[in-house]
Amino acid sequence: MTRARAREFRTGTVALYAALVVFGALSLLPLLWMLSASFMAQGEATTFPPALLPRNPTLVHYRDLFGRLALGRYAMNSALVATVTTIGALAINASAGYAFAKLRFRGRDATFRAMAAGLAIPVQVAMLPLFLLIKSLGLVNNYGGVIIPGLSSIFGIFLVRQYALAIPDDLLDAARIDGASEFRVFRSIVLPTIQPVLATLALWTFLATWNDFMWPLIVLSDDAKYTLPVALAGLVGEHAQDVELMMAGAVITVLPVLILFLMLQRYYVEGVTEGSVK
Amino acid sequence: MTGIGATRASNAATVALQGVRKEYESGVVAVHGVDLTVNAGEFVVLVGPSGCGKSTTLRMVAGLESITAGTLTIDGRVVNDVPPSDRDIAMVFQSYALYPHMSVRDNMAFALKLRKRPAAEIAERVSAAASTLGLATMLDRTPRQLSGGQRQRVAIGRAIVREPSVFLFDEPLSNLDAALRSEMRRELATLHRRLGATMLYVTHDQVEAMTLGDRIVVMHEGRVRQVDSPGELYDHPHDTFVAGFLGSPPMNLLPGALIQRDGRWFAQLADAPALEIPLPEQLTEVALRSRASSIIVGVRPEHLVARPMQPDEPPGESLAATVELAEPLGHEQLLHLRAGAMSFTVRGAPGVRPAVGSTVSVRMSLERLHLFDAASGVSLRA
Repeated sequence: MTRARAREFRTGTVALYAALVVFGALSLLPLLWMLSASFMAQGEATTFPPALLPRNPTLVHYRDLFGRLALGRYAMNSALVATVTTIGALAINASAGYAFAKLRFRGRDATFRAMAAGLAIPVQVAMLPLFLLIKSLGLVNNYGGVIIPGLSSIFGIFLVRQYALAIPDDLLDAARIDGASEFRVFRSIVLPTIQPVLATLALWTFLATWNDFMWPLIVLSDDAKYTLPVALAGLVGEHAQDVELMMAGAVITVLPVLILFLMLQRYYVEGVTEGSVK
Repeated sequence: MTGIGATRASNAATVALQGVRKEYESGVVAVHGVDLTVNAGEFVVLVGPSGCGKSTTLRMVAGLESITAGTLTIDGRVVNDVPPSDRDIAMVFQSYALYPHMSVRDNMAFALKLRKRPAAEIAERVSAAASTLGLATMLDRTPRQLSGGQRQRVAIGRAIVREPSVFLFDEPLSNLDAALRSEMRRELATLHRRLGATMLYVTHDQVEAMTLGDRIVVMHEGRVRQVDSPGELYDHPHDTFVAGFLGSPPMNLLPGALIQRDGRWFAQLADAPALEIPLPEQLTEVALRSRASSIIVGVRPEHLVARPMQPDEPPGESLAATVELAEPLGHEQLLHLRAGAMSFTVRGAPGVRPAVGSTVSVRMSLERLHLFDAASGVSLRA
């Protein structure tokens, strides 16, 4: 490489990284400001020019949220709904995905194709019929009505199936010959093998359920049963001017998901690379 | 007891297949009905080209494929509908099929744990198998930390600890390089002699078949062509397929006819009508019995001798052929020759390498001739 070419190459790299830093900062800025504003005194966030950092950091909004506004209860509601849905979805999607990938039964491929076609239907279209179904089951204003529709998803089954297709048949046959029952094959061989995709699925399901606003709003009518996003939306109506309080609420909503992502990141990333090499 | 040093495992079972057939839903017939008995303690090799049905047959014995028709018994018990886990068999796969998330120790112990054996017994059997296979220092590694040969040893170890009544092998050495393959081949032979277990082994490699098998089953297009000891198969192939499949380079198969003159029988090659090969006595009887008008003459490369053509060579006693290629292999050389439309191979001692394009004179040892019916391919002796 000549010196001119080397310099050209280096300039290109520097420009690329500079652009990445700018875009990274741009996407991070609102999040950081959200965090910063949640510690500001009332009215400070709406001054002009807007303040970047709180002059006198305060926890008053958090105290307000958990005390006066009882957000703790809503957070618990959300945690319950998201955790139960995630565990259930893992069990159901993992077994269904594995069955579609590896077990032989009549009508398997036709069923799977029909299901995959369902991926194209927007969620909103299904909401009314789903609500009527939930209503006929008597699950309106019941956590069951929020949780059950999330317990299995076409996308989740699809995700697991694609991953499970890569499991060699010999591996399953070896376990069968070793004396394992079909359930034991699933538990002792399949589940550990598809662990990376399960981490992805867990994260994705938890995220979707935790953040879901529309469906809990439709199903739940009792104020005490609200999940965090629904309760927070209620706050917007009452406290539209109170930007700092809103930001503290947003922090509480984002935080658990962020922590979960950091915890599962190792498996998540591992899954991405392993899938490409194998 | 069968032979020196051979013991028979107390639980070694007899495996019997009667008309075992595999037909898929699509109508494709993979196996046309196999009759075979593997005696207790015997090492039987299924061999044949890809798609001949040998692996399907093995998988039916394992219980991994359903049996469309026929009966499979293990130790006298009909097991057609018995799941693999209850057949008391162990299987070694070409892909090793080791559990990737388990250590070597856990891979070997898995089957015993499922059978709820006491922990002390499991530990003992695993360590015994590991020391037999030279894996004692690797028990805590995972499969991905092992080389191909070590992985295959673990797969074999996983079968040994089970002490099954039948061992099944599905091309276990195919993923190994040549040197390792011949080493593992010797180890398997030793293992069989020591365990005295019933073993059914699938391969497409004729060297593995010849060296390992007490008996060999040659399969082709879903049918068994011949079941015999390695020596019998080599010396008395049942048909042209078996003749051409075993032996490297394979037997020369040359079209010809049987003719009778003055009470004596001769074989005549289609592309060298001047050469009349007098049939030895035992083949004369064969020729008399057969009504085949056109035949195929089979002769192994080592039963042909090629010499430089002498100027005064009398025609009719030897065959003049042109050298197309000479392959020196160190301990021997292979000459690829052509006479008319007929090409064939001669195996000879290394030495003077004839020039390509030169003419040599070829003689054959008459006692080692094979005659096959040209229409059916079946040996006239059969």
